[in-house]
Amino acid sequence: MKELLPASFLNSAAMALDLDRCAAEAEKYGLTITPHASERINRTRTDALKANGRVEFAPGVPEKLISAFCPSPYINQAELEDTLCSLCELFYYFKNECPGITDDELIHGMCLIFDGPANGSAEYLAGISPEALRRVCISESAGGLLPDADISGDACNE
Amino acid sequence: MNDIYVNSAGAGALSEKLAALLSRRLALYFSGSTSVRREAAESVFYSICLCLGLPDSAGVLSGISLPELEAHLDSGIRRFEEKARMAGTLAEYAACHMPPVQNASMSSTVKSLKDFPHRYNPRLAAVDIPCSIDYQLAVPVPEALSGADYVISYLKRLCIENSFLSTYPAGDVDALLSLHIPGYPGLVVNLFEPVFANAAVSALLKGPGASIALSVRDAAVLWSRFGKKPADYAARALRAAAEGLPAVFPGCREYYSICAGNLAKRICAVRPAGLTGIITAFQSRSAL
Repeated sequence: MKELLPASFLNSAAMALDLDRCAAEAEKYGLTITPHASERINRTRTDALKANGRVEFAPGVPEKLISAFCPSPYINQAELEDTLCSLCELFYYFKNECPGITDDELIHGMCLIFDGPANGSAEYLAGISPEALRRVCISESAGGLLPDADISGDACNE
Repeated sequence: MNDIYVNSAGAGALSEKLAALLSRRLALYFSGSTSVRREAAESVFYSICLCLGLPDSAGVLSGISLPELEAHLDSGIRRFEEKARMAGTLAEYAACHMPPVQNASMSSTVKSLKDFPHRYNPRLAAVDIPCSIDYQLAVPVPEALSGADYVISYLKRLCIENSFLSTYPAGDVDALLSLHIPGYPGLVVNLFEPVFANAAVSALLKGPGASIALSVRDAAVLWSRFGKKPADYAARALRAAAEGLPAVFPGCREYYSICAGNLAKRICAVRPAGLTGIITAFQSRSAL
C-alpha cells in the first residue's frame, strides 16, 4: 500500500528550497550563501529527511535555520555552509526525538544551546539529549516562567 | 484499496489533488511543523482515501476542484464519526446481551470495543482499530473492511452469535461447550460454532426445536447420511434445517446459511470418527 502515497511524498523532500530567500536572509548579517552552498544544504535536508523517516509537507526549515543562526556570534563565513548542514541534520533528528515541539520552538531551543553552553559547536549540540533539549524548548515557550533547564553535563553524559 | 488512482493515466489529476489535500491536512493536523514521520503521513493519507470512498469514487472525484474535494473529505469524516458512534451503540448492546455462559476473551473484547468511539480518529487514522479484539468469530469480518466499518461488521456478527446462544438454556450450552472445549471460559475460542453445529444437525435429524444434545448414535446417523457425499448436498440440507433455528438479531439467516455451508464441508471431509471434532456427541442423554 505504500506505493499509493503520492510520488512527491515518496521522495521525502517535496519542498523546493527558496534559494533567493536563503541568500537574502544571510546577507542581512553580512554573510553569503552561494548557489553551490544552497544546493548542498538542500541535499543535506533531503538526505536528513530520508534518514530520519520523515516527509515534508511545507517549506521553510532551511530558511528558518538561516534566519535563526546567522545572527549568532559564533557563525562565520568560512564555516557557514558546514554549520548550516550540521544544523539541518540535527533539526530533523531532534524533530523525531522531541514530538510535540513545533519547528520554531525546536530551532529556538537549538539556538539557545548553540549560543550558550555549546559556544557555537554543532558537535556539542549533537551530544545534547533530546530530553534536555525538550526542557529548554518548553521552558522558553513558557516565557521563562519555569526554572532554566540544567543541561550542563548532558553532553558529557552522552 | 487498489492503486488505480495513482497508476492510471486518467487519474493523474486526482493524484495531484490528493497530494495537495494531504499537504493541507498535515499542515492543519500538525500545526507548527513542516514535516512528519512517514508513518504519520501514510496514516493520514489512507484516512483521506477511506473517507473519500476511494478507489470506488475515483471517477467522480477526479473531475472536481480541490475545494470541492476538501468538502467531500469533511463530509466523509463526519460520516465516519457517525459510524464510530454507531459502533459504540452496538458495543453497548453487545455488552447488555452477552451469552448465558462466560468467556474471558469475549468479555475483554466487548469492554475494549465500548471505548472505540473515544479512541477512533477518522482524521488521523481512519483505517485503524484502536481496540483489542481477541475473540474470534465463526465467520470472520472480511479483511477488505477497516476502521469503523470493520468494527461495526464485527459487532453485528457478535450480536448474531450471542443472540443465538442466548436462546438456549445456560446449562445446556455450558454442558456442550465443557465437553467440546474443556476450560472454554478462559480460552480464546469461539463459543457459537460448536453450539450452532449441534443445533443445525439436531434440527436436521430431529426437526425444529430439538435439543442441542446429540448422541453418539446421532453422529453415526449423520455420517451415514452425508459421509462421502458432495458437500453441496449436505449444505442444502443443513441450510434448510438452519432456517428453523431461532433468529433474533438482524442478519441471522444469512449468517446461519454461511455457517451451515462451512459445517457441511467439514462433515463431508472427515472420516466418521472425525465428527467428534465437529459436533459434540454426548455418551448419554443424562449428560445434559
